[in-house]
This record gives sequence, structure tokens and C-alpha cells, in this order.
Amino acid sequence: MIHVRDLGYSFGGRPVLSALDLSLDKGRFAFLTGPSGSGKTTLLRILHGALPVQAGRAVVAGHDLCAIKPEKLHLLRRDVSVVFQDFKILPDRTVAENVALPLVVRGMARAKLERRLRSVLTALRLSEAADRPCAELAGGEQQRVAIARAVVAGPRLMLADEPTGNLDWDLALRLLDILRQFSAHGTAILMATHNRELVAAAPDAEVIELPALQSRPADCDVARAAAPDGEDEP
Amino acid sequence: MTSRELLAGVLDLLRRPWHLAAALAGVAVAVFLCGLLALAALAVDGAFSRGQGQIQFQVYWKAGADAGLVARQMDWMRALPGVVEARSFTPEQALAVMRHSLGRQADEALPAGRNPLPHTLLLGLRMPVDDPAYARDMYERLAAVEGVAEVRYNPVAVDMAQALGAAGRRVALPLGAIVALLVGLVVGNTVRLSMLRRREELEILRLVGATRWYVRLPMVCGAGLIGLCGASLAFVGLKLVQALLADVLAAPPLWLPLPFLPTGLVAATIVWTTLVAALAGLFAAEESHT
Repeated sequence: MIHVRDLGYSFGGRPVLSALDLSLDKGRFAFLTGPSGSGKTTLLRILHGALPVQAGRAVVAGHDLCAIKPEKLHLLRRDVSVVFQDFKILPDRTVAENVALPLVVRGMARAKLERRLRSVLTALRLSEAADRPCAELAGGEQQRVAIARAVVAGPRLMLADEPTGNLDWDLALRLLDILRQFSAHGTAILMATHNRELVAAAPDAEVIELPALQSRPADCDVARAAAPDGEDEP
Repeated sequence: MTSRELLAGVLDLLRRPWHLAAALAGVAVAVFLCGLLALAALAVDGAFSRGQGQIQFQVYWKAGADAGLVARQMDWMRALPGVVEARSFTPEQALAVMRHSLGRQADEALPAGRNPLPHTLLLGLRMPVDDPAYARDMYERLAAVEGVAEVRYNPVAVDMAQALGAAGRRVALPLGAIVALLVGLVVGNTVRLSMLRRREELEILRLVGATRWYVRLPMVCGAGLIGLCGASLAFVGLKLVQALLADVLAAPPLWLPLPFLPTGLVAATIVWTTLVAALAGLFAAEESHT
């Protein structure tokens, strides 16, 4: 599902990812971990086409990211869904409207859309909130809406960027459980987190550790020259 | 994309009524102010050309001409292209005017019991700028009418009218272009800023796999609709202002006619505003690309 070889990325001359190799197969669940500034978010943004591949190769869900044209990005994003820490949902729209968005943009017929929507809302225990505007929901519910939207169209790969960052421990565990259920149904999931306890809660999941580039001797001088100490990951 | 999604995209505008109202108001005010300028220019031009941009012909019929025939010939002359003013005098009316002008000397100057004055018509015509032979041709047409004894006009007035017309046309085109540019800039930026408020929504649509045109088309249509409605509102307002002012200006001492803007200009402005707004919507969609 993900095949990355020798991937490199830098912001304004400051390397963020360097010579990264990564593989993830269909239906697998993997954590993407590493200290702040190690490039987790940058990697996820590259994998769903928000950033270009600067060096190396990356093939995601059958799409060669080095060759993909901007007007074809929507094809990649129909195969690869994303969940963000800040949810990225439309607060003035209802739960159902938010969750149905990926189906609406695909032009799915109304009856089929309704069936798919109902089943996902039920699976994520959002049926009763279907007609409520998302602005009225609690953080955990909003995150479930974001996940429901990410899985409703049956993507081949789901990328999740710190999806539990705004949730308490119980909600985080529940969300992890939901994601692993979807993974068991064939969707590969790559979840970025720096929460070690959460990683420990899923001992059978793969763990992909990104090293902090500043700690690498070869990159030390470049990083020090380009960025002040403690600068956050872009 | 089906028409259902397109309609839904346009209806998205209604989700933020205050933003929509602000954008509509911005467009309407810009078009209204420029329309007001055009209306003022039209009124000034009308007043100006009434005095100086036109040429006056004096048509005299032969004494004793048949009154019925003369009346029909006068009607034909009034209907000639470019006529902006026509005043006719029967021999009796002309004599009364002359008596009034001469005052006490009238009895000595005018023979009693006999009226020597003919039927007369004063014709004011607007000079076409691009036809230097217009006055001469018109003179020949009027003089050729059966029963007409004499036609007079002032060639100096012809030259002045043509010079004024040419100057007006030279000023009108660049001025019109500047106003069109101004409307374009104000409308474009107003609509663009309004549409950029949907940046996050567009970003989310792209994230869930919307095609470029799925994102662009509702933005273009929504923005175009704002342009169309804003411009239409502006012209409704202008019509109200024109209707209110027309009576006031047409009364003494101004005697200023205030016609409404020509239909072609109104239609062209609405089309222009709609196009500019639609383009601004397209730019906003592209700008919000992440």
C-alpha cells in the first residue's frame, strides 16, 4: 500500500526527512512515531499529495507520487483518506453532511449514499447525532465524525495525524479500537503519534520510528545552520 | 458534477447570510456609484448638447400654403432622425410673436389687415459627429419639400456642434474604460475576499477527493450570482434615484432632463459585473489551493 524508498524532504534548506525507506501492506495497522521535528506530519502530507516528493520515490495505493499531476490528485485522495488532530470538519454542517462529503464529491446515487452513511454512522455510534451541527459536538464526537468521513468511502489507506492528541485517555483507547477494526476490514492505517502509552496498548501493530534528523551526525551541521534550536516541525 | 451538486454549491452561499449580504452590498455600491456618475454625465451632456451640440434649421413655407398640407409636412420633419426640438408657428402665431417683440412700433411696422408671415418651423437637430455633410444634406432634404420657400441654418453652429461631439466621444471612451476597470477591481476584490472565507471548506473538499472543477464550478457560479444580483440591485436603486430626481431637475430654473441610462449600457454593465465576479470566484478557488 505504501512503498517509500530513499525519500528526502527539506524546508528552506533544512532537511526534515532524509533517505527514508518505508513499507506498509494492505490491511496493516502501523504507528508512525518519533520526537517532535522528526518529520511525521511532513511524511503524511507527502503521502496524501499535499507536499511534493523532493527526493527518492513514493508509491501510495498504486499512485506514483513522483509522477502524479495536480489535476489527478483527487484520484489519490479517493484512495487515501486523512484524519487530522484538529479534525478539519465543517462546524456549521451536520454530522451526516460532513460524513457524506467524500460520497457526495464522487457523485454517488442518493440511495446508495444513504445506505453507506447509515452503516458508518452506526459503526461509529453517531446515528443519534446525525442531524446535529458539528459545532455542538464534544471533541471526542468531532474526532469520530472525522474518522467516519475518512472511512465512509472505503479508502485503501488511511493516514491519521495525531488523531488522539485532543482526547483523554479513555477516548483515545476507544478511537484506537475503532481504527483497528477498520484496519481488520482491509484498510491500511498509518497513525502518527508521539504517545508511547498508546503504542504500547496495541502490541501487535507495526511501529515505524522516525529519527530526529538533528541527532544524525551527517546532518547536524546543516540543521544547526538552517534552523534555530527548538524550532518546531514545519 | 451533476446540476444537483452545482445547485447545492451555489446554495452554500446562503449558509453565511451575513457574508453574502456584505459581498452583495459591496458589489451593489460599486456599481451604483459608477452608475450615478454615468447618470450625472448623461444629464450634463444632455443639458450641454441642448444648447451647443445641436444645429437649428428655420423652415419657412410659401405665403398662402395649404395649412393641412403644411401640418403633415411638419409632422414628417419632426420625425426625422436626430430631431431633439421642434417649434412650429402658424402665420397668426408668428404675427403675435412679432407684435409682442416690436411692442409699440408694431402698428407702424406691420400692415393692418394683412399678414405677410408664412408657416414656420424651428427644428433643433443633434449633430452626428462622424458625418460632416449632415447639415448640407439635411438642408437639401428640407428645401426640397413641396411648398417650402426657404430654409436657413448657421454653418458656424454646425462646426461647433461637430467639434463638441468629437471631443465628447474622445473623452467618453477612456472615461468609460476607467469606470469599467474601477467596477472590475472593486467587484473582483469584494467577491474574491468573500469567497476566500470558504478556504477551509474548499481545502476539506479537496482532501476528500473532489476534482478541481467540483471545487471551482460552485465558486464561479456563486460569485457570478453575487455579481449579477449586486449589479441588478444597483440599477434598481439607480432607477429609483432617477425617478426621484427627474421631476425636480426638470422644473424651473434648471430645466434639466434626466433620462435613465440606455438599456444597452445597463445590460453591458450587468454582464461585465457578472463576468468579473465569476472570474474573481475562480481566482479565489485557485488561491485557496493547498
